[in-house]
Amino acid sequence: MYIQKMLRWLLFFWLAAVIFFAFAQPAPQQQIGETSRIFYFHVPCAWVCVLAFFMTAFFSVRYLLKKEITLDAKAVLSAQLGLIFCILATLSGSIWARFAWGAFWNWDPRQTSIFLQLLIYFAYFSLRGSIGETEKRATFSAAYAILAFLTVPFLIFVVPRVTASLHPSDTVVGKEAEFNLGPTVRWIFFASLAGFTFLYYQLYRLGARIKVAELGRKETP
Amino acid sequence: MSWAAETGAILKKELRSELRRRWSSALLLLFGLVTVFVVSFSLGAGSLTPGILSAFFWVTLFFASTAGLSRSFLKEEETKTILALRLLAGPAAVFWGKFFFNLFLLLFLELVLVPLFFVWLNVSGVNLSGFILILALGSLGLVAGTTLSAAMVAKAESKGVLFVILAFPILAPLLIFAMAGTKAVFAGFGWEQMANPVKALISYVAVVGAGSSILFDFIWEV
Repeated sequence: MYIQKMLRWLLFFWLAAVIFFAFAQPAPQQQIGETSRIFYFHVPCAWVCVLAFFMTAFFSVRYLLKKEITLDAKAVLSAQLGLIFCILATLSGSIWARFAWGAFWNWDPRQTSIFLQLLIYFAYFSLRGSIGETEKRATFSAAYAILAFLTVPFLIFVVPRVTASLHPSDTVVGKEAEFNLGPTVRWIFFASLAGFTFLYYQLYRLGARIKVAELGRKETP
Repeated sequence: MSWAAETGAILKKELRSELRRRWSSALLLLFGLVTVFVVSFSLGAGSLTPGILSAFFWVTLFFASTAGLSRSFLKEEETKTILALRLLAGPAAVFWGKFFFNLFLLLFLELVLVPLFFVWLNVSGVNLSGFILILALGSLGLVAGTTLSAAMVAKAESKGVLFVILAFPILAPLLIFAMAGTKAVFAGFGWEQMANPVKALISYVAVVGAGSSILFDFIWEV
């Protein structure tokens, strides 16, 4: 418990430091200007959105193999968190697009894929909403989450290569990365990425404890 | 019975029951006809760019096929034959039987709708063999991406709307690849410009088809 408290404070100061440096240091992209600071928050949101969906698919696979209802609850929890980060990534990206590319929405392949990710989350929750029986609901939504997750690599890696994209590739990792971003920018960015991932983990831990406690209460009236 | 024989038996049963209810396939055809007609008459007979034509082609095909593809398990639920099916056949046979029947149904629809689309919208200068390849891969993908959703929707509430909601995000990459490929084909380009979409389509069909067939085992048993 003591360590958990320490970790929460660490997360708080870590993210505070990320926000501070994101604004105290010069903007990451001089050509785009001040608005490019949103890069430090937009990309980690998109990353957590995909990570959370990966975790949903992971718990779904484990649910199908073990049929434990707590695994289903964890998959749902991760999807709920993922939905929040997905909305944040879409909104922050849309605001940035307005200033960097001139319009809130350009149907860039990455915009298309984040919107489709949003639709996947909505479909997942609609499916859960329209099935009454607990086991059926858990099994069907698990199967749907896994099938939808199989299409995510196509959205992320293949679609931008089949159609033209405004998004830069090789920005963060890859051959061009060192050239595009200075060392300070990279430090702040990776610190932010780590901070957001850790934030997701903390939210997930808290949520999972609540869900497991609720399920336990339902089983023993 | 072997897997292939069982699948063949399911396919035969599907075809026979469809032939007994010819009005139902006629309805599907009419629904598709309405979709193609709405698109064609609202666009007119002007010269459209290959990009617009390919987009409308796949949008039309997507909506024209939803009515048919969503029915494959729904009709078992309506006629209360789903329990009998579960007793008599294994999940793999049911999945592939329905898969091939849906593919057959889709090809039947395309046989009528595609020529109409070409005639009504004055499509010309097409790389025909390339078009048939993309259409075949796209149809395989449409069936692979919807069979699982159809099985789930049959047991859920608000079935008709839910099917489109579930199927669309799964099919979206397929539609994007198919549109890119058809655009090249409608522009009369050769095989080189089609290579990327075709590779993407093949991998989509393989991944989603394999994934659906594995996942079907789990949902068939609850």
